[in-house]
Amino acid sequence: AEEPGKKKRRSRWEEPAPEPSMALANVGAGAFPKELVLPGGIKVALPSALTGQPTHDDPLLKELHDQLNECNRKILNNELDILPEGERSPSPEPIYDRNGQRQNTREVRSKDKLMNRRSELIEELIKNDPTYRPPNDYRPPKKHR
Amino acid sequence: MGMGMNMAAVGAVVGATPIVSLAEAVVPEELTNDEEYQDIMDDMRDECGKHGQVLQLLIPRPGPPGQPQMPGVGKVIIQFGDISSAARARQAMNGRKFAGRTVTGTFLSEEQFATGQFD
Repeated sequence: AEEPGKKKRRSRWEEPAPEPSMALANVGAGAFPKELVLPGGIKVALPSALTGQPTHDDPLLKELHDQLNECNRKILNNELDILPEGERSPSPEPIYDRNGQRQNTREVRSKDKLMNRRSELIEELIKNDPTYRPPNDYRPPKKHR
Repeated sequence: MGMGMNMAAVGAVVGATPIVSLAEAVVPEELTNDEEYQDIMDDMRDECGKHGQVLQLLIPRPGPPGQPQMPGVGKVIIQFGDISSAARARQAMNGRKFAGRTVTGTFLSEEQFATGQFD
């Protein structure tokens, strides 16, 4: 039996949390609040390393961070993902330097690929994660036409 | 020219599509009750409508016991009119609580959506 007036039902959606301020309750959890408001009203998000917040609630950001970590690990450990003989696609034409040394060996090409992937991931993180700070050795790619 | 749409997809948000999938929002048990199901549909439609035009709202319901499950039971799938609405909605709903559960929002590709791969 529906009432004609249709009562306003409470939504199952919980109201979005109010903007975190420098409330004392916030300081209790970790030594630092998630966000500081500087005099003058400038808001500064503190890095998660300081706040002890779970790094990423957002599955997309988490995915990017995970992929980047994986990429960094492979570069450090020299895991180049070179497929065994017979499963590889044809190599490009060799390129030699002035001394006749080959430039684009399989190892070099694999490493370049990893480095490019790393740059892409870092770029995506810069765009999407406001708290992300790129590593010191990261250089934005040159835009060439 | 036909590429225009695809290029727009490579936008501000990684992997954004017009289709948002919410996990942890509903549990199969509450979907079996018709009245509750209707309420949940209304809550979702109202909330999603705040972020843009909703073309389709799907909340797969569990079938009779013993039958194979439909894909996506326990998920809420929303097709928006455009990517930016979907991106805003996902941003707003991800991490928010629905019926006391913390919702996670991801995107489904158009292909996954068209072929019913909701899981």
